[in-house]
Amino acid sequence: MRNISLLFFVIFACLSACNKSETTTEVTDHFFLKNEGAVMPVFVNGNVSSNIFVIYLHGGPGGTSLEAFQRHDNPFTKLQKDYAVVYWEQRCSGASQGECKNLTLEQYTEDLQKLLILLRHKYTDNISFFLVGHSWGGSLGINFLSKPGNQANVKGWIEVGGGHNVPRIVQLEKEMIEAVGSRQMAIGNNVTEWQNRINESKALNLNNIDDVYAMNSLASEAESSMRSSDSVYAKISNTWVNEYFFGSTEWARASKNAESSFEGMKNELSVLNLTDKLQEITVPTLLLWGKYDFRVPPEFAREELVKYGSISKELIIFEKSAHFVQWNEPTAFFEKVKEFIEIHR
Amino acid sequence: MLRSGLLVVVLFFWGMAIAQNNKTSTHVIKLCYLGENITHPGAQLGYVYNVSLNKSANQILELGGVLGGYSHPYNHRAIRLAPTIGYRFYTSGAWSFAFNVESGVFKRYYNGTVYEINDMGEVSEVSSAAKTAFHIGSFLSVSKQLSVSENSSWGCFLDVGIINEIKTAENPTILHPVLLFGLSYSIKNAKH
Repeated sequence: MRNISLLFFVIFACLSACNKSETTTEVTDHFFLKNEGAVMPVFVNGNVSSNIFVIYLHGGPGGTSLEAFQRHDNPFTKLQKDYAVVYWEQRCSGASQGECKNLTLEQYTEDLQKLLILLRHKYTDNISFFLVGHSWGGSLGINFLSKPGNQANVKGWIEVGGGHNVPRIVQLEKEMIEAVGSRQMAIGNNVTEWQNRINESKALNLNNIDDVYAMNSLASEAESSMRSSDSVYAKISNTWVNEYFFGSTEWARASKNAESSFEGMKNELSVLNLTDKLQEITVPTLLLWGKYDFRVPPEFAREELVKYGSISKELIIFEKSAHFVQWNEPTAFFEKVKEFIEIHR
Repeated sequence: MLRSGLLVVVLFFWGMAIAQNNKTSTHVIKLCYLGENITHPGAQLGYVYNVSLNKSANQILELGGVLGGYSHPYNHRAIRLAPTIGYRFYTSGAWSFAFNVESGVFKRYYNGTVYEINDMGEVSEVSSAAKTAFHIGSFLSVSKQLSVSENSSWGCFLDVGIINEIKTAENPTILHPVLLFGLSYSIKNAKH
């Protein structure tokens, strides 16, 4: 019995000690938003009394806002000192529960509208919102902001590798793989990999829905190659052990959520084009992009910046980042976001 | 999945029929930690009725039931109630090994306040209870007797297994890996 007790003690002590210096699980406020069958967790962390709420719109669809949630070096954790940061798990994503149904951009947008109503109800009507939309979250943010009246309480919009025009993006993915791939081969980096990737991308028919997603997979692989040649910094993330033992996500459900979201959204997403809505967005806008973002190439950001209706707009390219600027270069990301909020609060 | 659940129930009643002819009976109370992992607080109370399958009584048919609950912080709380049936084999020493299956009710509650907003923009708090689901489960168990007297014994056990919520609109078939460890107390009675 003594041996068994000792074994459990040792296991528990090991788990408790796992990367303790790097992690945080502090939560200021937590509740659920229920809408149209979905039960979506919301974490509000940090300086709530500032009345400045930064809402993080995660990617996917089917991703999570809690990707580096437990880390002190997460840029959003750093923002919590001065502002409240809202981590919202979208329907059928990450730690979300309830039913995986109504998976349309319009439904996600309605969920976001209700999130803002709920935050004002729980805290104060005088909240100044800043939205940070990553990848798919960029599309969600743009669709939300383009609805009448929705920019009233929003002080600023930050799009991070936003994928709001998929047909154009996959065309640029193909061009970027060919251009960067050729340069990489010329300097002898992963020559066979790049050659195969270029050949495969040339063979894809981007009017075919399966090929659209195949193109996206090639783009993702291209980012891995750039990471292996040290052109991109490694992403920060929760460790497996911390995530499993101390995270708020139920892993089996998160995996099902990702699968269901992709199935539910893949048709709409493959032809999604919100470029025409950009002129309706007049709030201050900041675009943050990775130089080696193959999934949403920086050329796309350059094209789209001029189409925004905002007077105050800027594009910043991060030299050592791919699709996840916030996790590739967390410190630089934090500094740019904080600077933007301080100017426009 | 539903058929598997029904099979467990049928096996349970078959075991009860065997138990009618049993000359000695052992009642076991089990109290243990229940959680999706060892950082999720939870507890489970179980009752097992042992039926000897051979003369040396080293092979046992176990019939019983469990009531347990756990809390996954910021995610959900769950309560489960299930009849169980299993087979246990005793070694010549104090160790025994078992395989158990169960089928029962799994009730899930969202672990936090739930808000809903109507079309007028009015916010209200709503119930944190999700729809009730059925589940099946299977466990491997290892036990050790710690002390034995004439009619009773104390033991400890470690079970690892899987609980599978049966698919509903709210539950897209969720597997819960489960770890149980705790103490058991057995009382042996001769039948009259």
